[in-house]
Amino acid sequence: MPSSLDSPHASSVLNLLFEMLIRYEQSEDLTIVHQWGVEQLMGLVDATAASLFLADELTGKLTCVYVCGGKDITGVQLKRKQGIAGTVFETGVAQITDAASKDKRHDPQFDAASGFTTHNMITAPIISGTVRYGIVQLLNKYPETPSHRHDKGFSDFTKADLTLAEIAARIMAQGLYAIQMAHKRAQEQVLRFEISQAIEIQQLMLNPSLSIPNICAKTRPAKQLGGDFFDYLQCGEIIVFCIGDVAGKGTPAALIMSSCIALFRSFKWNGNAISSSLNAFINQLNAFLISLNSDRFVVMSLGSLSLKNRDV
Amino acid sequence: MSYLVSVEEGRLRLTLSGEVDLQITSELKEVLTGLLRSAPQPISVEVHAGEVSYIDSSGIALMLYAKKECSEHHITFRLKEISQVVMRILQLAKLEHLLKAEHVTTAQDPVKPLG
Repeated sequence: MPSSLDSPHASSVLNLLFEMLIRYEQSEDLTIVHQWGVEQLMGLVDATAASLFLADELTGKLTCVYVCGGKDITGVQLKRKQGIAGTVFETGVAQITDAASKDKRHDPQFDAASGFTTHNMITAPIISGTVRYGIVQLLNKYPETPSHRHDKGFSDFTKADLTLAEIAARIMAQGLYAIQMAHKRAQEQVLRFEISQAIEIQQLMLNPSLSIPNICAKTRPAKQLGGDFFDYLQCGEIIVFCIGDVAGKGTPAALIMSSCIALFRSFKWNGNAISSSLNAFINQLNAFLISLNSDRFVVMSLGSLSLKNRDV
Repeated sequence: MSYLVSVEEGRLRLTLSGEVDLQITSELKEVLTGLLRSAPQPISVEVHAGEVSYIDSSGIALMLYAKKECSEHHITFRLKEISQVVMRILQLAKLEHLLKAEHVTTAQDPVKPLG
């Protein structure tokens, strides 16, 4: 980093970092921001090329998603801990590699295949807290003056360059983290909406389709969605009723509960043979619950009331 | 003690007695699952519930669960004996044909030791 914050170079650095923060905060298309960020960083540390690798959440493999200044190697994948990139990704520690050809971790076949010769590089992890997103590599530093020039025509990356790369990589990580959180919040919002819809429908199901004088019932679930239910209907001069409780709570119990009510309401009740009708319904409900192959069960009281002679 | 599980010569014997309710069935389900899914698997499961004085829906569900697990792992399931209390509940739930007991104990049947 420049020793004086008043120097023009320091001003450029601070402006870049500030603009990176703003862009990552405001943009939803990180691909464009990544590309812009990598190019700007290249300019600040005088790298001739740069590449950006992002990690797959499940496999941990690093995939090249952007290249600037070198041969296009986008799509190339590295296994975990492979090469200098893999090492930095695993350790989370940025590093300068002064002579890539002398570093055993650097695979010369990589350069041969891409047609690019790596002389030196900075590799910085894109990391936020304990979450690792990938790495950014800055390659082959331009010489500042002829006296800084190597035999190969390149200059050494400095500690200041390394620090700048680390900070920029951290800002990239923050951007990725922010997008992840935004997606998570959106998913939670959708889920909350769906649950509210389910609650509304469940409440409608618990409103019996007919009102009978002196008969009323109410249920209050412990959670938003519950497995308690009741229903009654009239079949001639017979009132058939049920009060039930699905084992467990929440959405799974609510789903089974709604099936029980649907079955109760759609069943062909026979008021003239109510006893066998009740038996047939239980058999049908048992068969349905067994077919679910679930460990959940339903406790239910099922009965009938004769409006004629008040027999229950 | 409400339950006893023993394995002899590959035959798993589950003996239930007294009150069988949610307090023990959740624990018992874990025990049964472990025994039925780990090697060596039993060749048969016998349930003895002739001394049960009370059983709730979780107890009935446990029997159904045991039968289902046995079916999936090709293990013979037998409901050797049940008390009249258990039979009554099975009849109420119309499950007496699904969980067929070989014997229903009466009050006159001698009380057998748990082991």
